[in-house]
Formats: sequence, structure tokens, C-alpha cells
Amino acid sequence: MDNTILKIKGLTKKYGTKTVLNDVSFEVEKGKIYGFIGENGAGKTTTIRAITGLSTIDEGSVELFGKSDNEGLIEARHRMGCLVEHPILDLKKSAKANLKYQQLLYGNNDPERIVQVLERVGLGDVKNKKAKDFSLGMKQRLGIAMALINSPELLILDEPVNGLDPVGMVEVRELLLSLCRDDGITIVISSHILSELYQLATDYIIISKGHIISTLTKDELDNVGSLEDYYMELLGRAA
Amino acid sequence: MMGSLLKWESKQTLSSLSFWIIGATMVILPALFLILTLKGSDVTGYEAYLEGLSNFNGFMIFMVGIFAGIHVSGAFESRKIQAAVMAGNSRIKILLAKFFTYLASIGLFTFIGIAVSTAIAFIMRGTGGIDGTFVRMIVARALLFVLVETAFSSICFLISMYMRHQGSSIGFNLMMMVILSTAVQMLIANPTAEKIFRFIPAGQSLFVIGDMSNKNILMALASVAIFFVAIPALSFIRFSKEELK
Repeated sequence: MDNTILKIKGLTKKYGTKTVLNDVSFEVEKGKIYGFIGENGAGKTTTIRAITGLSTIDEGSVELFGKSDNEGLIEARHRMGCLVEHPILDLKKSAKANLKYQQLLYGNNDPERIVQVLERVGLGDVKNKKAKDFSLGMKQRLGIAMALINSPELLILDEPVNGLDPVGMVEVRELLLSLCRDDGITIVISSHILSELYQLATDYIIISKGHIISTLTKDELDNVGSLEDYYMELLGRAA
Repeated sequence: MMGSLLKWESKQTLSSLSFWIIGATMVILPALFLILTLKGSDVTGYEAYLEGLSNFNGFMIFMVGIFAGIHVSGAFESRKIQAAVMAGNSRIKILLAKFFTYLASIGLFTFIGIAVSTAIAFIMRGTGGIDGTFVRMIVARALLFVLVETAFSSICFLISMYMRHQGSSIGFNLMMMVILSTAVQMLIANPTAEKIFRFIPAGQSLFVIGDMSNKNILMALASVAIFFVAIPALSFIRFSKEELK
């Protein structure tokens, strides 16, 4: 049985004359946590935007849960949860209300699921509090809750720990590890904070200047050295 | 999923303060203006009813531009449209759900506004002076006017679909509505221009007040149908391939 749930093949994207993604290819297997690493402007967010449907692609393909046609991809995105750049919250509404609206987008209405998800991300006690009164870490966790509301099999998180203090980072890390370990959710998390990704990911996809320059497992990385040293060496070679 | 999208859009619209403020303004201001006008005149109830329609048109031009900016451009600015795309909804369904709730909102404001103005006209001046049957000249005209005004307002929907900044969208909407209305009023006496204006809602928003012949009713309905198809189609040209931030 093919465990691959996401296949990116030859993805190319241009903005005018500037090529931001050039023949990007990688695969994501079920049950793992992928650290998607790259410097600012490397193409991480552009790749994620192509997967989530926010951006069109010039060449190549995205295959999600075996579907690569337009209608198939739209349907497949029901099985995926995303947090791209920052959470899309209505700050005037409570955490519970935000999740209720998010559920509607999936065609669902399950109040129990809302309570369950809020407990899961540690916001059970503040479900009726307005999102504008949340700290940055709480907003990020609410954003993750929004991504979890439809019981996704794949979670795509774009820089979810940006701007968080160390405590917030640990909370998000623990949550994501638990989601993979206990709920079997596959996670792709993009970041340039290597220390966090080292503690979180089982596999790494490294992108620089629109090119995939390396993919490796954590075991393979441990044979090579530290993530930071390996990444810096790759950048030196890629430049 | 279309049903869920419509529910999502409707709940968001009904929970927004701007919906209630703009709706109340579109009902109250024309009504107040009519009352003030009638205090200084001795027109019949029917003439007052027609005056009410004309007043409403004048206020609507400003209010729909604001509503479209908030409802459409605001949804892109706050990334709610992006959330709908990422949740696995097709762009055409997202667009249609947004368009339907927009039309329903404007239609509701217009219907209530006209109903209130009509009630004021007949309470203050009686039901005299109607040059035809009540059903045709009052009820049918009012319903046709609601359709025409709703179709006219859809221009602001189209403009807002092409502008991502809420403030700029509102400004541009207001400008376009004023330009269109002024152009129609200035050129309406020109026979060639009149023929064109018969098939666009901006023109029919004036014609319907004075002309309830079968021919004009058909032309008004045609103008509404054209816009109800053309506006989402033109909107989709941009939205279908748009990079969503």
C-alpha cells in the first residue's frame, strides 16, 4: 500500500520574470513530521500556497491523497488542515465561534468536535473568550485548532512558531508531537528555526532559492552531524 | 457544500455590524427625507410613492458602495476567502455564495426601504392618484424596482472583486455609482442613449419609476438577468486564477 499522501512533481512558479520555484519535487509519507526548511524567500510559503490552492502553478503537479486534477484536489483538501502565515481569526468572536464558522466551511456542524479540539490544543478553559484577548501563543493554538476541526489526515503549518516566546514554542512543539504520535496526523511544518525543527521532525525537506537541495530522514541526519551544520554546508554548496 | 458556503456567508453577513447599520440607514434615511418632502407639498399618495422610489435610488448609490467594499474587499483583506479556498471549496462556489448573499442583502434593504416609504406615502397622502391598477402600479412596480436596484448595485460587487483594499474599493464604488447615475440623468433625453439605458439597470432605475408598460417591464427584467449573469462571470475572470495572499 502506497503510504504517500502528498506528491509534488516538478513544481515551477514564476512571478513575472522571477522564478521562485524551480522544478520542486518531494513526497510526504503518512505518519511522519516533515520539517520544511529554507531561508527567507527560499520558496517555502510559495510551495505551501500551491498545495493549499491559494496560488496557481506554472508547471508541474500537486498530488494530494492520490488526486491531481483540479476537482480532485479541491475534494482532497477536505482531508487537510492548514495554517498559512498566520491564523485566520475573527478577533471579535470567541474561540468557540471561530471554530463553528470554520466547521461550516467543511460542511459540518458538530459542537462536540469543537469542544474536543479546543481541549486538545489547551484552550478548553477559554472557549468563550474573544480571540482579541488571546496572547500570540493562544492565537497560534487557536489557528491550529481551526486546522484540526475537520479531523485532517495531513496538517500543513507555515511558520507556526514565528513570534512565539520559548514557552509558546514548547507548547506548540508538544502539541504537534502528540498529534502525530496519538492521532496519527501527518504534519508538514515550515520554519527557519532549525533547533525547533530538529526536536520535532522525523524527516527534512530543504529548499533554497526555489530549489530542493536535500531531503533526508532524521536518522540520516544524525549520521551526518547537526542540522545547523548540515544546512549551512548545503547553502555553501548551493550558492 | 454550496449549502454550507451559503450558510457560512449568511451567518457572517448577519453577524456583521455593517450589515445592520447600512440596512437601517437605507431604510431610515429615504423615509425621513420623504416625510420632510411631504410636509411642504400637497402631492397625492401615488406621487409620494414615486417620490419615495426616486429618493431611495439617490441614497442607495452611496450605501451599496460602502456595503460592497466591506462585504467583498473586506472578506479578502481579512482572508476569509482564503480560508474558504484552503478548506477545499471551489472558487466558483465561493464566488457565487458571496454574490448571492450580497444580492440578498441589497434586495432585503431595498424591499424594506421601499415598503416603509410606500407605507409613509399612503398613510400621509392616501391612495389616490394611481393611474392604473394597484397591483401593477404599486406592487409590481415596487418588486421590479427592488430587482432593478439590486442588479444596479451589483456593479459595486464587480468593482470590489477587482480591488483588494477595502477603503479604495469603497471610494471607487462611490465614484463609479455617482458617475453612472449622473451620466444616465444627463444623457437620458438622447434617443440613442435611451435605447441603451433601457437594457442596463442604471437606466431602468429611472425608467421603472415612470414607465410600467409591458415592453419596459420586459426590458427591465432583461437588464436584471443580463447583470445577474454577467457580473459573476466577469468577477470570476479575475478570481479564478488570482494569487490569494
